[in-house]
Amino acid sequence: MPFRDSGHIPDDVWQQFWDGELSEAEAARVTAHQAVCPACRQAGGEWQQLFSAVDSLPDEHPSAAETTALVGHVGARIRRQRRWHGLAALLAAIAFVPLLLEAVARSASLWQWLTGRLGGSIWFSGDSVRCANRLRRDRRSGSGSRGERRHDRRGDGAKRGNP
Amino acid sequence: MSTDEQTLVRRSQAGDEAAFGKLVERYHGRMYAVLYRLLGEREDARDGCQEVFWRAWQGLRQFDADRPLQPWLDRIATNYAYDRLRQRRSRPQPTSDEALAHLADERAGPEAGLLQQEAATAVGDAIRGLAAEYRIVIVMRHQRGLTYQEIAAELGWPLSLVKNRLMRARRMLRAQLDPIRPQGRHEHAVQR
Repeated sequence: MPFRDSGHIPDDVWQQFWDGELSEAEAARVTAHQAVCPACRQAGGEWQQLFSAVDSLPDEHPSAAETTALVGHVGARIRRQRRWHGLAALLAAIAFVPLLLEAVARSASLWQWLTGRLGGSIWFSGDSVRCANRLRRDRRSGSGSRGERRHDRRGDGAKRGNP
Repeated sequence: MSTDEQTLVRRSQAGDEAAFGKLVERYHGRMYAVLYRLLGEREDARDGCQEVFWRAWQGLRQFDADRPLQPWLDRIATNYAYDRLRQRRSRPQPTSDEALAHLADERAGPEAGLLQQEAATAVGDAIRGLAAEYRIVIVMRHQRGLTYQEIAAELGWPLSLVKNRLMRARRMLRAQLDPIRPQGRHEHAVQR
């Protein structure tokens, strides 16, 4: 750490010295120099004065009443926020109910549409079930389905053709 | 951090308002001192405390309860104050000549206490007269006791900028506090 052309300790080095930011070797060099240089000793003393003046500034303290008021204020703000959060949750729930109902309705109609579209190709589709039910109903009433009637007509014809 | 404080922090994180109130009580003095030094007005320091503790409450869930609380609160306070200072223009406050005269006077005696008080007022006024970017580094270094590295990390500034601003701030303070010093006595110290 050269002390530059003047051979004296510059301001920034003094500041780092009193800040404790110089390495041990650098600090030792400053100390050694000021021991033999009255001008630097004086400059160092003046910087030290400034540091101690700023370091020893008394802190401002709040009164006990101010602390109590602050605790009350922060607490009130927390409670206010909680109330708002509760209200927001309630409003969200209220807004959610129609949405939920609509979603249910939509999913029901979607199911109907799906079963209607894919009915012929899947064995458990609504059409298959409806068809089976109709057959059962027709058998019970004795009218028979169109296919059965066609079969019956052929049967009658066959009987008529036979001697 | 003491176990007691850890417990209070954990309870606050779980939403316990009373526990947070105890933390507010515990750190209010320190917070007020930092904010007053930075903002320079009692009213601003009072408002700042409310805002800083509110921000702390809101950010508490993200805070690691195993770490000390005070540096975290100091950081919130410093950021808050720095933002405020940047919003308003620096208001240089002239230091009273009388106080300056007393600062140079190092006599001990019955008046010493009064002189000290006046000297402190002069130093406080001089700090308040600094622009935001200089005031903040002075407070972080001298009041909070942070190193250059810590200041740089907290403010997100390069280390060289922190050093530069700290040096310039102190030079300004010296110039303000030492106007009666005969010129030419210390040329050697400022040759660069």
